[in-house]
Amino acid sequence: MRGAGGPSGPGALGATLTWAKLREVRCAELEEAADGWGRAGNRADAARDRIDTQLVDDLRRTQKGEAAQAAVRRLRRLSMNFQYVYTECGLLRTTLNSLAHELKAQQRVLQGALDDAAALKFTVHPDGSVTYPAAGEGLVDGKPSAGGRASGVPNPGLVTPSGLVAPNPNAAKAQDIADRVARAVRTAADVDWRYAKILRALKAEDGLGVPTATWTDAAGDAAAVRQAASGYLAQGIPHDASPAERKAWWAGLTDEQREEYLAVYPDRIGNLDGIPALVRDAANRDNLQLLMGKLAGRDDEDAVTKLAALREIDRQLRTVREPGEPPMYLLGIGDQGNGRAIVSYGNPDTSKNVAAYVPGLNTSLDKEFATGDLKRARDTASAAREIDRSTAAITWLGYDAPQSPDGLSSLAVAGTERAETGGHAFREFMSGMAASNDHDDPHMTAIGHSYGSRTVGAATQQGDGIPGIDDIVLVGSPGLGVDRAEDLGVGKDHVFVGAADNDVVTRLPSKGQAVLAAAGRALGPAGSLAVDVVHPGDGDLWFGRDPASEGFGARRFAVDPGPPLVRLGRPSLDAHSQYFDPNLDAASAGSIALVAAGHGNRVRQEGAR
Amino acid sequence: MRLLRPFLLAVLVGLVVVGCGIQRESAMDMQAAAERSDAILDAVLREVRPELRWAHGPTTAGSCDLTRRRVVMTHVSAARRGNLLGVVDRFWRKSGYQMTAVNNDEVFPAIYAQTRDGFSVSLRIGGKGQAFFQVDTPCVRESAVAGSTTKATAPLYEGEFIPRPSIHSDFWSAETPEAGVTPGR
Repeated sequence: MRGAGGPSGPGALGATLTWAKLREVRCAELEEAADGWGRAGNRADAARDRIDTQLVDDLRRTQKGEAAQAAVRRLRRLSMNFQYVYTECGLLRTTLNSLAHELKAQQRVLQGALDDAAALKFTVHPDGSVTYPAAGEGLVDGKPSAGGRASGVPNPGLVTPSGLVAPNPNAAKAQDIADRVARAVRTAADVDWRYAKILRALKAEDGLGVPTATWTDAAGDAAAVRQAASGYLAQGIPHDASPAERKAWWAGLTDEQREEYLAVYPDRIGNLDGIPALVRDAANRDNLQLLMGKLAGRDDEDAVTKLAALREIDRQLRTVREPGEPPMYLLGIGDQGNGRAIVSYGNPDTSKNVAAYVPGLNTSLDKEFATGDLKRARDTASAAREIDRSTAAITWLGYDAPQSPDGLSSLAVAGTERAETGGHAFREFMSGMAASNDHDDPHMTAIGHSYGSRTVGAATQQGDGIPGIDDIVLVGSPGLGVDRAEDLGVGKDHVFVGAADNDVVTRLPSKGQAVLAAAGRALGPAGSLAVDVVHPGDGDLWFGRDPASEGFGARRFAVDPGPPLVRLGRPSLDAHSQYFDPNLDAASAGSIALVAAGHGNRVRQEGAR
Repeated sequence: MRLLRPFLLAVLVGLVVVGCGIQRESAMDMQAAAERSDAILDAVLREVRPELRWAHGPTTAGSCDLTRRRVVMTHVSAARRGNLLGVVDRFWRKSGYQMTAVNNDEVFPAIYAQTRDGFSVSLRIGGKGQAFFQVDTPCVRESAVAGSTTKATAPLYEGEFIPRPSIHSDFWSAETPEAGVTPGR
């Protein structure tokens, strides 16, 4: 941009801008410059890709030893450099395009005023004042009122016209023209000043490293550019459309448009259901860096917890896959609420089978989630791919699950609201998966664990149920708010339930509600509570009928009873957490994988409770 | 059911719903657990005769555990599937493992066992009759893990997908049940 950052202070256009200068600004050149930055960014992105997917892999596979490890480290740093270059180039590009967009708008205002002046044969002077000829009839003598000169004001509302204006009809017209010229010049100067500030902030630290502080800075850059470019880009994103419509919207964009959306709004595009998985993954990987930068700039507990999770996810994304290992796709990431993360193992668009696991009670974006909950999907994908390699398994943390700092008594407080809200988000997500899938009729599975089964239950009851879903797996369920398997919308033979004998969550009777709440209060935030574990006999659990009961009518697969509730004198909820665990309950994990691979009819069944 | 009596049982329940649960202080680290897993897999594949050709599957690690996999590249026919499962089942029992679960499904059968020291081991039949061996370690001390030192007996492969079985064995690939031997299961 001309003069930006020059010695004359913010925006060389600023102090001295005249309408003549504004008219001469060549916005096309700004756009060409933007394209140039775009090309540079794309090259950086391609280079990063080449390093990550080829060079590092090849080195890891073929070379061992210190030197190879050092080379991999150096390549990683280079890759980070390219990623940073890509991000900043994208921001520069959009800043320049957005600047051109706003300047062009003011040029149009100016040109309109100049055209009007020319038609009326008024003269617009270099200082923006407008002279007009004599016209009309004088109040006294009937002669035409004399001509004159009007000076524009950028904010016309601020000047009150006196009641005694000359009756020359040209005067008002000239004043209008002069005002429009002044406004265009003033607005353009503002634009110039604003963008000069943004562009000057788009700069990097010296040196080859890309430390966290640089990403914190990049997160700030992105926020500034987003705000500035909101009129230019953001309104185009079809947030209110259906996932299928969004898919069509994305397909209809030019490459240049897509690149700009990805550069400026990786957070929105990455989390938009209906957008292809590869695009979401690319956007979210960039967004992840920006989010880590943003959170690293804070030191409160929430930020520290989420940052640890994001760093672990980042580490896994950068780990070189071994042959035969399902690749990882980041389909969603965010720091809102308790945090968001959606990770697929296997490409969910090209896979015939897509399974999504909804975690439950006490799940939030923390390190435990990033290791334990993601592993559940990874293990499921690995085992399901032995049966049908065209399978992807997803961990979906797309809602705020109830947190239970006070022990299970929080269930009483949690109620069903989060399940209802989460159910809507989950339906939207699955609708997106169905829309972006390449197969005509992909086989889709919803897996709910703990409160996640309540969330899946809620989703089945909203609208037409969960879009595209074929099978439902419920493990460690405290009830799902639906009384019969046949009411879940997939047919009762496609509902699979795992309930460990010693899993107290699957034994929480509805009758105990008052007992629980009272006990929770009595024992205070220290967090223990007395649970009435009498089996109710009528199959009623916390959130309705026990899905493992005869009356519910689902297929119950065999699971390990799990360790007893009290072991070595200590209370244990371990039996609630091992359904996916190939070490602690390999048969259960294998059954979940069978369903995910589309062969639920082959799980080993067990009688109802 | 065992624990739950038809009378009120007030139980104090702790906080941790998700997680590894009780952390035992383990003398073993992940590398040692990986070597133990390799030994478990070596032993069972040594037991299977005629030999099966196999390739390493991916090693994956959790926060405190890891998984070793071996993928059989010898084509095992449906007719001989029972032989394989039978041999392995008998060997694991003889080794003192506890058989934890069996799925007798015709197409995707599986057997699961647990060693005395808490390693979970399985043999599963997947698509195209391919056999998969897997060992999942208990929670141990975190450490770096090297690749298995046991040499695979089938060619290496690259990429996301492990190839399906392509190696013929006169015994394992035969489309008839083994004469004079009842299928293993």
